[in-house]
Amino acid sequence: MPLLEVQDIHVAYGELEVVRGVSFTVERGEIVTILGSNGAGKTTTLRSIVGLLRSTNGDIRFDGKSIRNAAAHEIANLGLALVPEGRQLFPEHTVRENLELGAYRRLRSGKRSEFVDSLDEIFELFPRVRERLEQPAGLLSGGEQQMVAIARALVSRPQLLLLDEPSLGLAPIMVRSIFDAFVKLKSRGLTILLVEQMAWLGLEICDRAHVLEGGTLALSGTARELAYNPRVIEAYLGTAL
Amino acid sequence: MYFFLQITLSGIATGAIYGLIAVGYSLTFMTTKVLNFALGMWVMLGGMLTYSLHVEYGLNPLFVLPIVTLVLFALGVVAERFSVFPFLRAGSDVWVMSTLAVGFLMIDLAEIIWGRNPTPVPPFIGKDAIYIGQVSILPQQLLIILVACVMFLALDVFYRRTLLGKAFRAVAHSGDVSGLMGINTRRIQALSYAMASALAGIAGFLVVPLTLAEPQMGTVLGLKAFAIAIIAGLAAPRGILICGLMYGAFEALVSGYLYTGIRDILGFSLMILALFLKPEGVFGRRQEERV
Repeated sequence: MPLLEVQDIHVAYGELEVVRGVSFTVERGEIVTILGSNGAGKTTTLRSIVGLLRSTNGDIRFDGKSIRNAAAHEIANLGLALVPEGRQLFPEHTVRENLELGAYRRLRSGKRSEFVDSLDEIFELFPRVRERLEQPAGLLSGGEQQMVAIARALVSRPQLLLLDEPSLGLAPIMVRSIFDAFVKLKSRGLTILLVEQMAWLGLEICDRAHVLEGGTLALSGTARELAYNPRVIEAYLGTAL
Repeated sequence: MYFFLQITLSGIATGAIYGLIAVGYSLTFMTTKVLNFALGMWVMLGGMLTYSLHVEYGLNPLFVLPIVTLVLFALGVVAERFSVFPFLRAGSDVWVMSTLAVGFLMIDLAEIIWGRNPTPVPPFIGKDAIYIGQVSILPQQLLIILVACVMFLALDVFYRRTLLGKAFRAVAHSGDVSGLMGINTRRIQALSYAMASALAGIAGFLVVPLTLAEPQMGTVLGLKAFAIAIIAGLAAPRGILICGLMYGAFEALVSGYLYTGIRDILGFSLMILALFLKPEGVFGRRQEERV
């Protein structure tokens, strides 16, 4: 059974249907990338998976259980963590407070020691987060904010990590460091669903990928298949990997 | 100088009440952008319950305070569920009218239960003024200042030190992102409304010995507290206490040195001026979107 099954979802903003009949699956332990240009429906798809938008048709199943009508906090508590586009940290909270909020459910159940253990894992992955713990998150650089945003999602110990354009607005060296972290996380068994506009980045680390165009899935395949697909090369890559 | 200090001190006690009510506006505004426009009526309910429990049933104020707080908290949960949440869910602004409707309902019910005649409530801790040099203060006024300061301190500790308080601040920044953290934003919204109602009840408990217990006792208090919340900034709870104390002193000085009749004209003009010059409030910060 796949960890995530998206079945024929349709999502609209008022009259405008942005996602039309999208279906795909994410298996345990793999990285799946969704590619597409601006306005293709990538963010809308992610937001509907995590309960911030409702799909009017179809179903979304996580670990076999339908989450289509669940509230965002219920979905988060099932083990899905989204790193939203533009980081969306709480800027006036310190980095530590942002991480505490990421681990909200566990801290509410009194599992502070688990949170402390998670912090150690985070510091190993992103040593800079430790140095910035007591600073307001809004004062960090874009790259540091992205690390904190990923760390905030990870401290919830998710089964599925969803990332919306993690490379957006970051320096190439920072992008490299963050994508290296995704590979490390995968090797630790984490499942990742990545939405990325920079196709070569997404295809480099994923197992399978889908291309969204105009709200529908235009192409699907393994990373290698898509990297050598002439349509993908022309529209997103420019050259083959 | 003596006169100046005397009226300033009395004004500060009134200002502490304004601050306590005003922070209630801030609590709900921060989490839902909703304002309970009838918060003054909740103050009245706190005052009238205090009258019944303390005067009619002879209960010690130490027991009256937690009862009033809990009753108003519970009523706040109910009022939010039926007069605010349905409109918030529908994306409608009708809560402006529904919160007021609940307030007027409370006044009518209070008139039926307690009648329209103003009734005095004896001070909780003695009638004799305490002298600090030549300046005197009533024990009840001192109690108001102390309790208001403790409540603000507790609220500050709640916001800064507790996980739930941090979640309140998170919801204030973004309900959507808070939901992604597993925070039940709906529960926080209901809780903030109930807390604002309870704070208004505490204000009513404290102020009723200085005013008189009657169904209209909270209306003007609520309006002035609203002015203070606007002047300070609805998202600036610390600033609200400072503004509340200053506004109380300002009112007292205007009444003492000028004329009581222009006190409210100047006060509400100040609110309009503050809105014009700094819409986010004197202590408020403009929201910046980072990309």
